[in-house]
Amino acid sequence: MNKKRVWIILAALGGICLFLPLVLRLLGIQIFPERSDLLLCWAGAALLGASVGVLWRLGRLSGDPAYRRKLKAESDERCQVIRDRAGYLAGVISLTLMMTLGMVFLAFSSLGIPQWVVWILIGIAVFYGVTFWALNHWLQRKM
Amino acid sequence: MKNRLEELRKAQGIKQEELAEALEVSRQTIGSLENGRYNPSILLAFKLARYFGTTIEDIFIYEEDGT
Repeated sequence: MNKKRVWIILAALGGICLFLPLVLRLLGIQIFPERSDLLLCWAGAALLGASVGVLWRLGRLSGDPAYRRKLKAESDERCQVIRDRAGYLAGVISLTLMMTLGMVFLAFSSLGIPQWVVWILIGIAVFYGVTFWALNHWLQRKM
Repeated sequence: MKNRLEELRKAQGIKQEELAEALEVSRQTIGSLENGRYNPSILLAFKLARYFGTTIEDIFIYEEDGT
């Protein structure tokens, strides 16, 4: 099955997930549990939007050689290195900030920040560290 | 890493855009290579050498750290 066909199917699926709960609600039929129809609509909208975007891009790539060349140049090795480095630095900065804020909120409970917010901030920072370590090990073996 | 890329390119009367298109990279990448701000991968280095009909050592000048 080619790429275009897969994305058309996904777009159709997204459309069904988006509109089916709305139609059922309008007809007064309750199949899905409370609030889960809203979640399904959001997921459907996201899937439909992403699929339409990819299909538009695939169409443009096949019909416009200049666009294809431009895209290839934009994703050349130097741009890829820059993107990877920027992503890594952004991640480190964000995680450091999150960990620092978590520690500050933990130390100064008078600030009134709920404990679960503090532990989520610290938890994400710890998760990043563990994931980074694991991926680093895995990639060391793979490459 | 120093290189003779700009010299070779100008000697053949080629613009940065033309070289970038031939090598399927962006014009900014060619600019960065010529300024020495970016070192190419081995694959790109080979492509450059093949494009100019020369060797990698003729284009890129490797200098040891002065220690």
